[in-house]
Amino acid sequence: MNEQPTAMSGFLIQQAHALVQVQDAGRHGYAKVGVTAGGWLDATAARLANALVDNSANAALLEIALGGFRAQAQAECVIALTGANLPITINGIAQSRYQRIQLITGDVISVGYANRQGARCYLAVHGGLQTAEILGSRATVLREQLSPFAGAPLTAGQLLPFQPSRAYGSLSLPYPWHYRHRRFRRLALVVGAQAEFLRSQLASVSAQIYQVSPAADRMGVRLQGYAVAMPHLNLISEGLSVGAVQLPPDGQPIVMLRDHQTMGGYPKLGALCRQSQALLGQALPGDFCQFALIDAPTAIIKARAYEAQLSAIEQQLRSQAGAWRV
Amino acid sequence: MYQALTMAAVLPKNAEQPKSSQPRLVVQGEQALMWYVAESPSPQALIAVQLACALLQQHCVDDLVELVPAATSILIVFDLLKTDHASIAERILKLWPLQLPQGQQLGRVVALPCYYDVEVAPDLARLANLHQLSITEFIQCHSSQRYQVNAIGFAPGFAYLGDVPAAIATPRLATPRARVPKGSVGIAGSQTAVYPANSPGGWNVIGNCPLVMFDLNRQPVMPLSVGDAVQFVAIDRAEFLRLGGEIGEWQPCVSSHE
Repeated sequence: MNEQPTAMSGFLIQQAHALVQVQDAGRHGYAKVGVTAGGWLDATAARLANALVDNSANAALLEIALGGFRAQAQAECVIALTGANLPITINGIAQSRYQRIQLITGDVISVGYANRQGARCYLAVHGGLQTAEILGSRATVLREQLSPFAGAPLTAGQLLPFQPSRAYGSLSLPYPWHYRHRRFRRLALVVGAQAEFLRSQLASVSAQIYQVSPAADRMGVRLQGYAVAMPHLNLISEGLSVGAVQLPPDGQPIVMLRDHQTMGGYPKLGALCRQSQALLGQALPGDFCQFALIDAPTAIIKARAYEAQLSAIEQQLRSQAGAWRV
Repeated sequence: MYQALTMAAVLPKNAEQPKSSQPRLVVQGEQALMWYVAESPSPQALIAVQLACALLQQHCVDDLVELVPAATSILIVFDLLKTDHASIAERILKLWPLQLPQGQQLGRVVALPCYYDVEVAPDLARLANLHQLSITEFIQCHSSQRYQVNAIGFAPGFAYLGDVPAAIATPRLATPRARVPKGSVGIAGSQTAVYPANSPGGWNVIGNCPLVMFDLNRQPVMPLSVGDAVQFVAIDRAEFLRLGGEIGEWQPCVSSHE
C-alpha cells in the first residue's frame, strides 16, 4: 500500500455511541495500580481486520458494538470490516465483511443494526487509528476515563485520525474464518481457585445450560441459570484475571471480560479460555452457553495451536497485501 | 478431570518437600497462577508479598504480563506462548521459602497531607459525634496511625489502607454518593483511602488530600505501591490550597434518605 506524504486525516463521525470504541490489544502491566487491560473483545476478528489492511497485529481499530455507526472518510484510505455480520454500506451500497475496501475522500461508511448476528464488528484502517496512546495503549476504558477524547464516548463531529493510504487489487479472507453467530456455545473453563469446595458441584455446573443475561458489557457477562450453592465465605480480595468466572452470593456466574476490575473478593469457579472469552464477547442477551471443563495444560496446548493457525493466516494476508503494494 | 487441576499437576514432580513447606499455588485460568504467600493479612504478609513480587520480577520478567499484589496473594499473569504454569511454579519453588528481612519495614513511608475540615469533609462532624470524640480528637486519631497499603484496585490509583483505629472505624454509607470529589479521604469499616479521581463512592469522607494520586503522564503513575506505609499529616487551609487542593462541590446522596 502506498502511504501518501500528506498530513493526518481521518473519519469524521456522523453517528456513534458509547459502545463504539477505539481498541487495540490492551493496556498491560498496570493492573497493579488498578488500571484494567481493556482491548478488543474478539481478538480473532480484530486481528484479521488488521491483517487484511496490512497492519501490525496491535494496530488500533474501531470496535462497533451492535451497529449504529456512520462516518465520512476525509481522505482516501484502505479499510476492512470483520466480526459480527452487521449490515455494512458505503454510500448506501451494501458491502461484504472480511475483504479489503478502498475508500475515497467523501465516502460515507455505515454499520447498521442486525438481529442475532453477533455483538461486535471491527473496522480497521491501514496504518491504524492514530489516536493518542495512554500508558502504551490506545484501548478505550470508559469506566477509567481512558479514551481518545478525554474519557468521553465517541460522538458525531469528532475526527478519528488516520494516515491516508491507497491499495490496488482485491483481498479477502476465506469463509471458514468469518465470524458466524451461534445462539448456543460451549465455553472452555479451566477450573481453579476456590474450586475445592465446589468440587461436588462441578458436575452439575457443567451439565447445566446458562443464558446470557442483559447485564452483559465489556466489564463482564452475568449468566442466568443453575445457582451454584455457596458456603458463606469471607475471602480476602485478590487479583482478578480476565476470563475469571466469579460467583457472587446468589450463585449466578459472572464472567470477567477485558474491562474487568483488577481486584475481586468473590469465590471463583475458574477462568474461561481466550477463545471462549471472545465468543462471550460476541454473545447477545438471551443466547445460551454451557461450561466445558478443561485442564490447564490442555488449554495451553489448544491456545498455542490456535495462535499458530491465526498467525499463519495473518502472515498469508500480509504477504498478499504486500504483493499489491505500489 | 478435576484431579488433574490440583496443585500436584502444576508443581514439578521432584517437589518432595512436606506439604506445609510448599508454596501455595492455584491455577487461575490458562495463563494465570495465584501465589498465596500468607494465610491472613498482616504487616508481615505484606512484606512477604512485596518480596515475592520483587523476586518474580527478577526471575520471570520476560514471561510476565501482569503481577497483581494483594494483602496475602500475588496474581501472576504470564504469556502462555512463552511459558506455562509448571515452569512458573518451578521457579517459585526455588524462591521458597521466602527469606524475610527481620524487624524492618520493606516498603517506604509516604507522608500524605490531609486537610481535615467540614468544607471538604461532609462526614467529619457526624463521625466525630458518632464516636463521641471532638473533631480535633478524631483528626488526631486518624493521623496518628501509620497505615499500610493492603491492595490497589477498584479504580486506577485507589489504594486500600488499613487499619484505622477501632475508635474511628465506621461502616460505609447506606447510600453511596453519586460524586465524591478527587482527593477525598474516606473511611469504610477499618479501611481508609484517598479517592484518586472524582467518582461515585460510599466511604465516609473525613478530609481531602491535595496531592495527585494518579497521573498518567508521570512514572510511576502513583506515589504508593502495595506494602508501603502511609502517614497522614494534618494541614491547614492555606497549605491545602498551596499544594493544589480544591474545595469541591458536594452533591447530596443518590437518594434522599441516607
